[in-house]
Amino acid sequence: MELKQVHKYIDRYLEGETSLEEEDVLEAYFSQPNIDETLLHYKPYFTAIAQQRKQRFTGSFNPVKSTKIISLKRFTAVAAASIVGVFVWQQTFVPQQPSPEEIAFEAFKTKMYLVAEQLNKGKQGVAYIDTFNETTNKYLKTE
Amino acid sequence: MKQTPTKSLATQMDKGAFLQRILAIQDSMFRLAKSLLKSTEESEDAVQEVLAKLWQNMNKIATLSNIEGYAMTMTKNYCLDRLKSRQASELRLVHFKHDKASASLDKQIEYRDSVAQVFAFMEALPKLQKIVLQLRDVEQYDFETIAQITELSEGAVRVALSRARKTLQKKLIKAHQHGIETGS
Repeated sequence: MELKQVHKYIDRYLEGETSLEEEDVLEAYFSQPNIDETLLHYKPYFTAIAQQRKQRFTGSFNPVKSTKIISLKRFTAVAAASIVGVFVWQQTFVPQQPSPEEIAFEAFKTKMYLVAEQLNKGKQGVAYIDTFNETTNKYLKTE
Repeated sequence: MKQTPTKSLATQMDKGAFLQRILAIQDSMFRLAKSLLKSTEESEDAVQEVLAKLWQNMNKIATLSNIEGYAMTMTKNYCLDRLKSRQASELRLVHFKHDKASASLDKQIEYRDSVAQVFAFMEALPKLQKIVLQLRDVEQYDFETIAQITELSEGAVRVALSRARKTLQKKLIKAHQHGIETGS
């Protein structure tokens, strides 16, 4: 193809005025090895669009299953969540034999409750001292 | 009584034909989705969703004159919606992108290859120009169909296409000169 003609097409191409047939001609020009120096910068673009056209949808669409749209990803997520849910439920609701550590912990807990009880009693004793101080102050003030 | 089986057979054949028609453009749908969403996985999900929606509404859609155009419009709208919700969730992360200089350097290295560079130029275009360019130069649709898909007038489509091509032309010239300068 004549160089002058290609330039003409390119000008119209940039204006969005070329037909699909003319654009095919341009693409064919840029896909052959003898491209003029003055037009060489367009080559990567035509290579790029030709390359992009080769991209294919690699997923698969199954119309039978699609009555309820569940993508595999979502399905796995739901499945994983329910497995975790069942596991947690088992852990919390199915009674298990207490391990020696748990028995020890329970024993320690009851002992600590007893200690706390004694401490509370002591605290009540301290409260009496407070009342005593108050009354002393009252006494001092009235004098 | 005899008519029922023939009837159901007929609708089944229609179903098959309809399925073939929508599956014939799944690649175009995927490429349009990819040009907007970038992520392959997300684009595949988008195509799957749109195909499922088309399939569910087959009775309505089968009566349309341009099923392909309708499917592409749905793909476009679906992707734009995805971008919107993505933007909303990304907004909060904007402040963390402080190392812009190093990001652009990474990109420079990544796009040293001239064809890959073109993809970067295309990606940088405004959304609408990106869609129009994709539909025309990659998918080779006529202006009437593009106008239908984009819900624009043919004139507006030509203007958007021309702008996109001219922007790319400027960038291509610049990149080409740059290549020569550094090469010599």
